[in-house]
Amino acid sequence: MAQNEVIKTINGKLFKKMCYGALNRLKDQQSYIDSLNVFPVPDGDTGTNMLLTFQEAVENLDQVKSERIDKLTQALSKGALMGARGNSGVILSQLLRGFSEANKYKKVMGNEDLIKSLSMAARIAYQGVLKPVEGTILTVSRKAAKRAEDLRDIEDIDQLLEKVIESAHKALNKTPEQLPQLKEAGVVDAGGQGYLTILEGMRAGLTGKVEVTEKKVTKREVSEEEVDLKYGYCTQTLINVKDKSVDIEEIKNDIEQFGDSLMVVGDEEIIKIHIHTNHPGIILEYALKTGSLKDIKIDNMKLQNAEMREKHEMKQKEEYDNLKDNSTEDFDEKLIMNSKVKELNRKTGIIAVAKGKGIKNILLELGVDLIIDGGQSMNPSINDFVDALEKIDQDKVLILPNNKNIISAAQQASSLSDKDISVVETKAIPQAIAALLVFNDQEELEDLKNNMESEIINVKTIEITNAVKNSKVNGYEIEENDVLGLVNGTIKAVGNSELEVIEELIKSDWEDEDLITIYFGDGASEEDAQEIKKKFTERSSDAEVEIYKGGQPLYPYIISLE
Amino acid sequence: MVKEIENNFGKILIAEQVIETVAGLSAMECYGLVGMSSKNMQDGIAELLGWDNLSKGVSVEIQEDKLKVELNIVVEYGTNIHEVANNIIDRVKYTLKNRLGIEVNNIDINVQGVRIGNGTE
Repeated sequence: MAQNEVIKTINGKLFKKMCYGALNRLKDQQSYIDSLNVFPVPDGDTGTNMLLTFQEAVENLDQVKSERIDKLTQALSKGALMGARGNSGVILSQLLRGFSEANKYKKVMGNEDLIKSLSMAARIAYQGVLKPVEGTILTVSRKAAKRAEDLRDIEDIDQLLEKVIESAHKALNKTPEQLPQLKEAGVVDAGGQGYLTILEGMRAGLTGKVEVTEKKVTKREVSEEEVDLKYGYCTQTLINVKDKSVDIEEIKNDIEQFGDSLMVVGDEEIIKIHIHTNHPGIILEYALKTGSLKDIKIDNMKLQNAEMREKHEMKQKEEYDNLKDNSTEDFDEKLIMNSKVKELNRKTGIIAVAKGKGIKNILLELGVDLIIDGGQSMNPSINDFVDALEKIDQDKVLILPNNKNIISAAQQASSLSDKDISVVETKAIPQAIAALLVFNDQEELEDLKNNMESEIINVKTIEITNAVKNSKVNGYEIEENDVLGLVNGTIKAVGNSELEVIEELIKSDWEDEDLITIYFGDGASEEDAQEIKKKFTERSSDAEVEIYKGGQPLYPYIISLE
Repeated sequence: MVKEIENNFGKILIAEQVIETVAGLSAMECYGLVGMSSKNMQDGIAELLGWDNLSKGVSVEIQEDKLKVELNIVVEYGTNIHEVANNIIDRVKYTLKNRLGIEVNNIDINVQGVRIGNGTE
C-alpha cells in the first residue's frame, strides 16, 4: 500500500469501479472455482453460476445514471436477483441484497457502512436456509463480517478490506475441516472461494491495483492441468433448445468421445455444454442440431499452457527414449520411412496406418515403405496422407488404412494427389498383414488391390478392448470398463476379463482356423498372451499359434485367425 | 404403494415414505428454501414443518414405472423463487437418481409460502 491517499468513503464512481474489479477477478478465477466443485450435481458449475449472476448484476448497475450508493447497490442487488443462476448464484444474490439493504438512503459509503453491509449480507444470506451448513460460502461471509465488526476504528477502507479479506481467506481455508466432503476431495469450498474472489476484486477495483491471493494448488487442479495438455480448446456454449424432449444424458454420450472435462447441464430450455476438446467445430456443429447457440466461448488452453506443455512433452519424450530399447527409429514420429525397402527400388510403394511399436516393426519388415502413425480414435487427417504421398518416391502407391474410419480419408487424399493410388480397404492390422503377404511388385495396381482384397476376406480379426462408456449395442448391455470382444468390427462378446471374452468368442466364432496370431498391446503381457494361446490350442490341437508384441494402445489384444 | 426395481437377483422395494423423506431432505439442501409445508393445507395456512416430518410436505405418486413427486415449500423472501424452484427440481432429481436409483418423471413444486426475514435491522 504505497498510496498516500487514504480512502475514507466510497462514492458511486468508486463503487462501480469496485464492481468491475470484482467481475474481472471472477472471470479470471471462473474455471478455477469450477474445478473446486465436489459434487457432480446439476448446478455444479459454481464459478460459472456466480460469474453469470454477478455479470447480470453489473450490467444492471451500468444502467443506473445516479451516483448515489443506495441506488447503485439496489441495482446491483436487483440485477443479481434477476440473473441468479444455480444455488451459488441465488446465495450471491442474497449477499448483494444485504449490501443493498444496509445502504438504504445512503449517498456515499463510509467505513461503518461497509461493515454494516458485510454483516447484513451475511445475515440475509443465512436467512435463506432453515439449517445453514457450515463450511460453505455462508461461513466465509459470516466470518468476514464478524472480523469487520471488530475493526470499526479503521477509517481507511482499503486497509479495512485487506483485513476482512485476510479473515475470509482464513475461514475459507478452514472449510475442509467443517465439511468432510471437501476434505475428502482435498479442496476448499467453491462458493466460499467465489465470495473471497469478489471481495478481492472489489479491493483491487478500489485501489486500482491488483493483488492476487495465491491460488492453492489442489489435487483437482493438477489433474485438470494435465488434461488440458491433451485437449487444446476449452469450448463452451449455451444452447436454446428447440425440442423439449432433448435428453442431456444423450448429448453427454454423443460428445464424450471428443474430449474430456465434459459438463452438460441445463433444463428443458437452455443447455450448457462445457468440454475440453481438440475439435471445437464438431462440438458446435453438434450443438446446432439441438438448437440455436448463445455465448459461445472457445479458449485455446494450449497457448496458455504452452510452457507447461513444453515441459510435459520433454518429459514424455524422455520417458519414451527410455522405453525405446535398441531401436533407432523414432516410433513416435508421424511418418516412418522404411530405408531398407528404398534400396529395392520397387515400382509400387506401400503406405500403411498403424499404432504401436511392435506392429509398426512387423509392417516395416513386411515391406511397407511408409507408416503413418494413427489408428482407432487417432485417425490421421487427409493432410497426413497427402504429406505421406509426397514423401514417397514411387508414382504407384497402395494405401492400407487398417481402420474403417480411416478408409475415407485415404480415398480422399488419393483423389487429391497426381500419383496413381489404390486404397486397399483393410479394416484391421491382421488384414494388412495378410494383404502384404500377397504383394508382388510385378503386378499392376488394380490387380494387386483385387488380390489383396480377396485375401483379406479369409482373415478373421478379433479385437479385445475396454468399453469407454455405458451403452447398448447388438442387444448387449455394456457398462464402462467391460471387456469387449469384436469379431471383424462387430461386438460379439462382453465380459469382465479378457480371457473370459476370448473363451466365449472361441466357442461362438470358431471356424477351424489353423493359423492364429496374437498381437498383445498396452496393458497386456506376454504371459497373458500365453494363457490365451492355451485356450486356442485346447480348442484345436492342429492350430499354430504365434505371439507378437504389438504395443498398440487401446486394444490389449488383436488376434488374427486364418 | 412401493416403488419396485427389479434386477437379475431379485427385487428392491422402496416405500413411498422413503422417497418422500429423501426428496424432502435433498430439497432442504437447496439455498432459498426455508422449509416444507404440509401437503394437506386445509386452512389455507402454510405452516413450516420440522425436520422430523419433512415427508409430510412431499407427495409421491407411483404409477407402474412412472414416478411423480410434488413438493410443497416455503421460500425466503427476496430470492429468485423461480431459480430456487429450479435448483430444487434439479437437486431432487439428481439425489433420487443417485441415492435410490430412481428416475423421476415429473417434479412439481408448489410454493405455498414466503417467509419474510426474522428481525432484520
